[in-house]
Amino acid sequence: MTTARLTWRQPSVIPGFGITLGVTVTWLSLIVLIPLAGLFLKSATLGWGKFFEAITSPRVLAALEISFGIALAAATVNAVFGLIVAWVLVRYDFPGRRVVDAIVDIPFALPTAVAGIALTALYAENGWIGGLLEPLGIRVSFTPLGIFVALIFIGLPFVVRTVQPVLEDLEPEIEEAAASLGATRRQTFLRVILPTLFPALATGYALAFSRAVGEYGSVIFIAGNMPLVSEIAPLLIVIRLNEFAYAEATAIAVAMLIASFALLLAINLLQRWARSRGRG
Amino acid sequence: MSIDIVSISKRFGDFSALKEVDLSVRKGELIALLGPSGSGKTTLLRIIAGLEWPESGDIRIDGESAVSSGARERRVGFVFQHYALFRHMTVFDNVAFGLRVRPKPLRPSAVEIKARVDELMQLVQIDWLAGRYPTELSGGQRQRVALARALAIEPRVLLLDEPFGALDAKVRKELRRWLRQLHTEMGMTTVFVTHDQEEALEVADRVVVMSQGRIEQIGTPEEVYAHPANPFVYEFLGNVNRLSVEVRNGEARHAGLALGDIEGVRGASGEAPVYIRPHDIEVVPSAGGPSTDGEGTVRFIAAAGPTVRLEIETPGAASPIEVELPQAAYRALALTVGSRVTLRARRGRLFAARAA
Amino acid sequence: MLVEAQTSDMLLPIPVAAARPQAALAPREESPAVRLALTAVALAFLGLFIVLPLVVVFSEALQKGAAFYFSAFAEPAATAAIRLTLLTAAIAVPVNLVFGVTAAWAITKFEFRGKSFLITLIDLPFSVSPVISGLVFVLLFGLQGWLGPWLAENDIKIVFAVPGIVLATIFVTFPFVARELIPLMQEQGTAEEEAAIVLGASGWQTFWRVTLPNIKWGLLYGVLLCNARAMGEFGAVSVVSGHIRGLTNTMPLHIEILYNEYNFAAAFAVASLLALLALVTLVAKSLLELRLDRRKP
Repeated sequence: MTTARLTWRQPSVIPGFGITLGVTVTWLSLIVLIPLAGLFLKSATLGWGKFFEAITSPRVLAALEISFGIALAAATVNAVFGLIVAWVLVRYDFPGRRVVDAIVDIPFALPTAVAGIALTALYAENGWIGGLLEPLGIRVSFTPLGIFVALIFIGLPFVVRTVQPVLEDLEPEIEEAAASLGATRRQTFLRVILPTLFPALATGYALAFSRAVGEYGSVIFIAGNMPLVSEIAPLLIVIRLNEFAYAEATAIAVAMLIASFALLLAINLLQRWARSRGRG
Repeated sequence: MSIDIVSISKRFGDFSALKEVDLSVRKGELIALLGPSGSGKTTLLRIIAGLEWPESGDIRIDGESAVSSGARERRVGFVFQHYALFRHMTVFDNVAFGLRVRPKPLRPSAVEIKARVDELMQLVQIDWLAGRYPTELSGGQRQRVALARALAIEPRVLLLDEPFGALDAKVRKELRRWLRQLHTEMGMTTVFVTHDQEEALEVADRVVVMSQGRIEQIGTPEEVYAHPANPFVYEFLGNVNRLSVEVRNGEARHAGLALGDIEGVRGASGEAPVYIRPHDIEVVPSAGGPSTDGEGTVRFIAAAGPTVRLEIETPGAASPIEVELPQAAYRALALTVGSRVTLRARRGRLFAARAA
Repeated sequence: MLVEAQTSDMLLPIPVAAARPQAALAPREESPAVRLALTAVALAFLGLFIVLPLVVVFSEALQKGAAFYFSAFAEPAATAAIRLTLLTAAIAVPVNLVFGVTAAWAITKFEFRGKSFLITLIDLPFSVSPVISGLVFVLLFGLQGWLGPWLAENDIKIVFAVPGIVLATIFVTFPFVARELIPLMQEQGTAEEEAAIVLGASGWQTFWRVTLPNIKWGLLYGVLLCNARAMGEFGAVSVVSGHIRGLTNTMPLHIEILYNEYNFAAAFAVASLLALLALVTLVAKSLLELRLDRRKP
C-alpha cells in the first residue's frame, strides 16, 4: 500500500502537472534557451583570440561604452524622476490623476520605432523642443544627448511601476511613529521612507537599465549613428550582420549579454543586501 | 459509512506530519480531530479526502480501500477552512457545481438539479441567498453555502476543516449547535478538525486528541476531559495546575496543599508531576494567627462570570495555583486579595516521568 | 454596512482639520509648497518626455491634411505591411497565450523544486536586446547558421521570410502572458481547484469552470500587452526580416523605410496607427485595472 512518488515535487490532487510542465519546458527550450545557447556556442567557435580581438576594436569598445554609459545615466535620471512621479501619483490627489497614471505606461505600449521618429522630430533643429534649444547652442537630435533622451523615455515606467506598489503598501504607522519621535519630514523621508523603498527602486533601476542597454528602435533614429560618437552596440551588431560579419556580430552580442547579466547580478546582490538589512 | 485509518504515515520533506496513525470512525459518528497547529489533524483530514497521499498505510471507507482512488472518485464531502467557494459563481451555481460536472450519463437533468439544490439550500437555510455571490455573504452564510455544496454530491462521509475557525464568537456558537442538529437529522459520518477544545468537547461524539503527528487519546468528551491519558491531553484540554510532588511510600506530598485522591501514585516514587484541575481544589479560609505550613495567600481574583478564578501563592509551588469556585461558594468564603487560605485537592493525576 | 458607517461616524466626531493648529502638518504630509513643486516637476517631466512625443506623432501625421494621411495607407507596400503585422500578431499572441496559461498552471498549482529558476528563464527574453533576439534566429536558421544549409537544401525559408518574423516576435513577447498570470494565480491559491476536484470535476472542467473565470481579466490584460508589443516590435524583426518591401516588412519596418526616404508625413501617418493601437491598449488596460481593483476584497 506504499505509494512511491518523486521527491522533487509535492503530490497534488490537481491534475496536469506532467503535461503543463512538459509543454512549458519544451517550448521554453525551443524558443528561448536553444537559440540563446546557439549564440554562445557560435561565439565559442571563434576561439578566445578572435573573440577578444572582435570586442576590443576601438569602434566596438566605443559602442559598448556608449550603450552602457548612457543607459546608466538614463536609468539614474529615471530613478530620481520616477520616484517623484510615483510619489506624486500615490500621495497627492489632483484632477486627472488617473489619466496621468495611465500616461506613465505609454513607453510600454508605444512601438519603439514610433517613439524614435517622434522624439527625433521633437528634438530636431526645427522641432518643438529642438527649436527652443537651438538658440542656446544645445543640440539633441543626432548627438549622444539624443540617445540619452530616448533611453529616458523608454525606461521611466519601469521605475514608476516598481516603486508605486511598495509606496502604496507603506504602513502609515511607520511615518507617524517617526514624526511622533520628533523626526522632521525631511528626516523621515531620508531615514525611514527611502531605505524602505530602496529595494524597489533598485529593481526599477535595474529593469530600466537592462531595457536601455539593449534598446534599438527608439535610439537609431535620433542618435545620428556616428561611429565612435553616437553609435550604440545593438546598431553595430546590425551593421556587422548586414556585412555578413556574423562572427563579429555574435561576439558583440555575447559581450553585451555577459556584461548586462553581470551588472544585473550585482544589482540583485545589492538589493538582497539592502533587503536583509531592512529586515534586521 | 465507516472510515478505517490503518497505520498512516505522511512526511513533508523532513517534517513528519503523521506517524503511523490508526483510527476507526464508526458509521454515523461525529468525530472531532483536536490538536494544536502542526499536530497533523488537517493532514489526516486531507488524506481521508484524497487531497494528500500517505507514504504508507491504508484508508478504508466502508471496508473498501480508498488509498488508490483519487479525490474525484472518493465521493467525500469536504468543507474547506476558508470555504473555497467559487468566487465567480452565485450561491446556487456553487451548490449545483458538483452535480453539473458529473459525466453525462450520471448527470441529473436541469430540473432535477434545481430541485436538489433548492432542497439543500433550504436545509442549510440559505435559500433566500441563491442569487448572491460569495463576496456578498457573511462568514456564517459562506460556511452554510460550503456545507450545502459539499452535501450536494451525496457524499459518503462529511469532512470539515476548522469549520468555525474564521467566524466570530457568537456566530460560531450558533453554527456549532446547528451542525450538531444537522448531524442528528442526517446521521452522516462526519469528521471535523478543530484547535478549539471547547468546540470539540461540545459538538463531537468522540474526540481524537492529536499532537506532533500522533494520536494521544481517543474518547468521548467526558472521557478525555475527566481521564486524560497523558500530560499533553491534560494540559491541552481545559486549565490545569501542574505541581511537582514528592512521592514516598505510595503517598504524594506537596508543601502547598493537601492532596486527596491522586490517581497513579501507586508504583511511583521520588519527584513526579501531578495534574489538578482548578475546580478540583477546595479552599478553606485559615484561622487567624501565625502562618502555618501549607498555607497560601490569595494574590488575584477574577470574579466576573459563573465561576470565580483565584490565583493563590503557596510556598511549595513556583507559580501561583489556579482555583475555580462557583460564585456561591466564593461569596460564602468572603475572600479578598491577601486572604490566607489552605488548599486541598479533591482529586488529581500523577504521571511518572515518561519512560518511553 | 450600516453599522460600519455608524461606528466610523462616531470615531470622527470632530472634523480633524478644525482641530489642527494652522502651522502643524499631519505626520504624512509635506508643506503645500513642496507638494506643489513635486507635482509640477512630475507633470512637467511626464509632459516633456512622454506626452509631447505622442502628440508630435499625430500632428506630424496630419501635417499634409487628411487626404494625404489616408492615402498613406492605400499604398500597396503599406497595406502589405499592415497585413503582415496583423498576421504576425495573430500567430504570436495565441501561441503565447496558450504557453502563458500552461506555464502559469504548472508554476502556480504545484510545488516543485527549481520553480523560481524556471520563472527566471521565462523572463529571460525581457533582458535580451531585441537585436540579439533577432540575431539568435539568424545564427540558427540563416545561410551560415547551424540549420541553414539543411533548410536551403529543402527549400525552406525562415530567416528573411515570414516564419523568422513570427519566431522573433514570439521570442520577444514570450513572457508577457505568463508574467501577468503567475502572480495573480499565486494569490488565488489552489483551494477552489481542490474543491472542484473533491466535488467530482475533471481537470478540464476544473480549468474551464473554475480557474479560467477567475483569471480571465488578468489574462486579457496580458494578451493586450503582448499584442501591443507583437505589433510594434522593431529591433528583433528588423534583423530577421531582410526588408523586402511588400513581402517581409511589418508596420514598424515600413515606417523606418518611409522615414529614411524622407517621406516624413507618410511615416508618421503609419506611426499614428500604431500610436492609436497603443492608446487603445492603455485605455483598455486602465479599464481592466479598475475592474480588477473592484473585485479585490
